Amino acid sequence: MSAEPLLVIDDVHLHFGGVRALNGVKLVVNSGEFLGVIGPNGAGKTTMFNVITGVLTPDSGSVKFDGHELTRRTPDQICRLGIARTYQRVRSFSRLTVMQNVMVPIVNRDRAKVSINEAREIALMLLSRVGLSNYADVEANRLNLFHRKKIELARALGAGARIVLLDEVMAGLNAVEADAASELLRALKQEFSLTIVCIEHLMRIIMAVSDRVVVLDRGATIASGTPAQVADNPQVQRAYLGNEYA
Amino acid sequence: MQAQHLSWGGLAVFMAIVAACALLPFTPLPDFYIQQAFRILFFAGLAQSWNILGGYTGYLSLGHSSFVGIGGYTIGCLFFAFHWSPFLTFPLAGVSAAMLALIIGLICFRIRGSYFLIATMLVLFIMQTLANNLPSVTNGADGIDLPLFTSNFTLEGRIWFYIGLALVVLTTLVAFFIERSRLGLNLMAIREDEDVARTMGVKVVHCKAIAFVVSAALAGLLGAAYTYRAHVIEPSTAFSVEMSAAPIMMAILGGSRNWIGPLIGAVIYDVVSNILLLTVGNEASDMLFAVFLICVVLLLPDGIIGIVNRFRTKNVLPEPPSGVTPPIRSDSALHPV
Amino acid sequence: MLNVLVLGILNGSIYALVGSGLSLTYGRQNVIDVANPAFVVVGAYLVLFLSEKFGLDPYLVTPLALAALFVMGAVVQMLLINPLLSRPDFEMHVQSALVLFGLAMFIQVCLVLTFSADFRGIHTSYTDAVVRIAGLRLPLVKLISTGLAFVTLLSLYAFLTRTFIGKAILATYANRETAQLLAINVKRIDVITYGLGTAIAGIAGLVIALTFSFSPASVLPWTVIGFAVAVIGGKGSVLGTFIAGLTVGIVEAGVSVTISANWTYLAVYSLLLLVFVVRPSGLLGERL
Repeated sequence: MSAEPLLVIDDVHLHFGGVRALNGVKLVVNSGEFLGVIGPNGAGKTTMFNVITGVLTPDSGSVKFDGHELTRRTPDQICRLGIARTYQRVRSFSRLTVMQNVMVPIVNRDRAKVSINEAREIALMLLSRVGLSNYADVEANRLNLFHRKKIELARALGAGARIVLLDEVMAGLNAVEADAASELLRALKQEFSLTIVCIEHLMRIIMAVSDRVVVLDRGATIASGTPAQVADNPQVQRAYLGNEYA
Repeated sequence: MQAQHLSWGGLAVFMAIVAACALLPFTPLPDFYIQQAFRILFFAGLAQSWNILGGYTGYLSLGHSSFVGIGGYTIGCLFFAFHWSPFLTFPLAGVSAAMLALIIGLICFRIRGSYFLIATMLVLFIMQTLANNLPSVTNGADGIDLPLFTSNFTLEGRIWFYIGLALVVLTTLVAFFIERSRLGLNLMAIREDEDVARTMGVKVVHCKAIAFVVSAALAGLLGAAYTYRAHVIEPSTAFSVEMSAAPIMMAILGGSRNWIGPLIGAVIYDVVSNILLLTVGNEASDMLFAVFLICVVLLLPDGIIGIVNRFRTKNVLPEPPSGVTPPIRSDSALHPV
Repeated sequence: MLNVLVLGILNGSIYALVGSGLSLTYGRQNVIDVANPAFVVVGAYLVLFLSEKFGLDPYLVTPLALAALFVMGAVVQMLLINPLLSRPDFEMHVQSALVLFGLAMFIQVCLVLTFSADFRGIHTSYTDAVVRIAGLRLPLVKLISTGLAFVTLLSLYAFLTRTFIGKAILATYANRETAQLLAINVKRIDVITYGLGTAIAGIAGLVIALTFSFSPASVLPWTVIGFAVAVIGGKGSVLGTFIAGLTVGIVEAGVSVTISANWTYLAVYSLLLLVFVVRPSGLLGERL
């Protein structure tokens, strides 16, 4: 893990109508790290993800990935540059099979155009890595939440992503599934040399797994550092009044 | 593991049926049926071409008849103005329809769902009004008359039968190959969730445009054939809402998610509407068409194929996997290096 | 020239009325009600039929017609639309449009079968009367119709903003889930809204019957106009509907005077398409 910044978000502002969703967010993601993003509801975490992936265009500020400026690019261009995401409410391609779901990003990669048959094989490999190979031909909407989250993970891998943005990936999972999920993430991160940015509310996981943590509140960054540093920060405690972590 | 309908086997069955149909004119079957068969073939091709955008991509267009009309008017206007034989200008019908699709797509693709449905219908109305009001080009509401192909009634019926058959084969092959291609996968992803598809790297605008243009070009060719066979074209029948709505119904009835559905839907639709026409007469059959449409959408959203699939799919999911396989080597195709 | 424009404004108010029933249900995110204008024509026929059958003044039979239409609308909502509400969003959107389109076609054919395809109209003692004001010659019926339209729209606005049910309707279409939390029975509100929209179509039908001639084939032109008004005016905005109606009326008048009457439809279609594409939520509607 190097300390080189891979993704730099600099002073991004975005408003919807009268609401300031992002108010000068600053964030640095270093190559190879596991960055946790926490903050109260409405802090702008998902909005920030939307800006990174090009779904929303900020009013001002810049988002640089590996030297490329992202704010003027379309989402599909950004995906091909190497950024993939999962969604707070899982959004798989419901009526496509699990395998087709994973094949979509694979056939759309920039490097070396992949044929449909090759894509199928790659998808199968990825499915077995996340533990879904028995479900390859099952329609995605028939699976339970945990498996559908795995589909999203496999999709992100299929895109050949270098950075994976996880949006509350633990939400809705029971304790066993959550542990399995974080173990899987750890393994995949290492194997595919991923950099992970993870929005999460489950403190127990985030504080244990992250290399660094960034705290957002009301559209701005209020703290960043190691989990321990952030936990001791009085501003953070105030923003989170009442929130407990194990 | 592949879905059955995408196998070459399914296509082989289709081609066998086509070959059998090709022999029909040589059987004792009365010429009348050969004549009438063109209608089924036309609508099958139309439904199939519509489905490329509507079924695979999920953008239901109520303006498909615009392309039929412009295809017909292409050969019509070129004959009207320059007396060029429709036989020669036939391919241009596809070209002009394709260009129209690009223009319409440019305007309409930024809106989705039922708005797209209505917007394409509006385009259809605009086309009809233009055709009515540009007499120097289209001869206005009087329409354009086209020359007869041959004077031999039986021969002409057979020629159109084979042309219709060829067009059905063409549209079906196009649909089949799109469906199993990368484009097809992308289109289906767009249909399921366009925004997520975009963030997964799908070039959405690109793909929609291709689907629309292909769908339109095929419809244009069908329109040219229909027009030439009818020997006349005029605005109200060329750009008709009924002709736009029919392929939608056929594709939904048969099942719009693969290439077999539109064919089945077209056959059933034609058979049923002919029966209705014979038993209850013109207006009542229009009414029943409308009721049919409502019922199909309410009761059979996935079409007949959907019902068939529900019987074929095992309701019990396979065993959950026991674990994950070991890491893949770093030189495999997956890695971004 | 001025005469034509003022006529355009009068026509426009009528168009606004035609579109207001549609606009009411257009406020719902997922349903574009293409069947409402068909009910306008039904209303026209109903008023004509009832007044001829009972020999009464059209205005007197109107409440009966309105009640009948309200019931029809409620039934449509319950039988055709409610089953679709449980389907996934993206399908429901389109399927409801298709179903309502089918309904409109069905209504049109029923009208042909019941009343024949001829053009009809209501003729009263004052049908051909012309009023002269300030150098303008304006048909009396159009003035009356405009007045009716005005009154109806104002009443609608008052109903939506001042009564409990009206506010419940607005709340449901602003945010369905929150409305449910506020103990509003959204399914019943849906039925009431649709019935109301259909009843308004009935008033529009009365106006149409008095002012224009109509036939079953009128369903399509009125659908386009109603649609234009609802879309241009904006989702669920009564004021927007009114302004949009005037706009359409003026555009129509303007085009028919300057270019030719044939191109008016083209102008309206194009305007509608433009608004649809550029700002689907309409002039005064909330952003989509």
